[in-house]
Amino acid sequence: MSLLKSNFPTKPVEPDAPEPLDPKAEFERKARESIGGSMVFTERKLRYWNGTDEVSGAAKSDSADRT
Amino acid sequence: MGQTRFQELQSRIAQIGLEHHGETIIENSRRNAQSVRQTIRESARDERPCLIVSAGPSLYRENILPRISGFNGTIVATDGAYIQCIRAGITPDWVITIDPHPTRIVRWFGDPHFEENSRHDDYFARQDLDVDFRENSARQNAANIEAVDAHPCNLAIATSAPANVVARTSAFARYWFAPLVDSPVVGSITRQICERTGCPAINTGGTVGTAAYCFARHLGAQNIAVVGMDFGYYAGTPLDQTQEWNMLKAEPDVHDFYPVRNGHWGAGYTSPTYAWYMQNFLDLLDGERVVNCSGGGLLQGPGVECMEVEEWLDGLGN
Repeated sequence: MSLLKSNFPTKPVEPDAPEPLDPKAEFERKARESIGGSMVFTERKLRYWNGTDEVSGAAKSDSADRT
Repeated sequence: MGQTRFQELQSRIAQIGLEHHGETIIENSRRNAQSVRQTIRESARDERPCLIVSAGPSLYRENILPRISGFNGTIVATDGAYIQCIRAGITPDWVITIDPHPTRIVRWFGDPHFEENSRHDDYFARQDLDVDFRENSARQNAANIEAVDAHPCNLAIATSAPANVVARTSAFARYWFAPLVDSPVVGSITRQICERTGCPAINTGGTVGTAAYCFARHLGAQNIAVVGMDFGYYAGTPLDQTQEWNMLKAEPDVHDFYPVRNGHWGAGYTSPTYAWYMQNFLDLLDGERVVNCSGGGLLQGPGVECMEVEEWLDGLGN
């Protein structure tokens, strides 16, 4: 028994389709372009830090920092 | 689904900001370290009643500035409200600026490179702003440059400020601070900036109005009122004039990202960004009293007392 070999025309191989956009990444890219006036912000308690003290985790301080 | 996406986006804004601005604020701070001559540590203590002037739509819609002309306490204006104050005959005691954007923020001080920086950028056209800013005119920008040059004042400037704002404000009495953007533990962005610049840090809550509030507390003010601090949009504002429009306009359920809220002065609508800003502000307020005299907008919550600005001024004897 011989192995069958193809003798029919084949479809040309199409180039790889471009990677679909990750909707989440695209959304965030647009967010970065759209939202003005926003800054990094992750600290929700401390309002002022004098730049030298160790962080105690205590809540905001306004008057002590001016000593 | 919309509400879920709303909450999802709101929860991601901090991370988006960190990824977008983290490198920029460190880079700007590194560059600005050489310009630091004095910091907000050297600012004189000022316990007088303090009025914070933000640039929300209510500032012009409610005609606030002419109504505060008799106030003789401390005025802290955000960068976006500065020129509006000058035009109303008010020179603030302080202006504050934090945003690192390389081409937009300098507009608030009059932009020497207006045409180049405004090309292909609809940011100002999409804001519910005083009409002179929205119209985006070179003639008005030239007038703003002249007005600012004639009224330099104390400037609380974040080390994150872009180079063109630093150059533009060279005649101001500048007091530098670091943006307190994360808990200042070893290795944090905040600690890196403070060590490099020698500046203390003030929390921004993500936006300059909240930074102004934290700065007023730092000055020593106890009786603080805010105007132009809306944290939302007026009910009739077209959606394409919102900050988030370019991001959300393709969403099939776009209205769900702009839920209606009841404010003290009537209903308006919020957005993921403004809802996030307001929650940050309330968190930092932590129940302390602040008087909201905006006359519009959505700011209310624990510690926030809403009243007309005349009522607050009367209580001071102004």
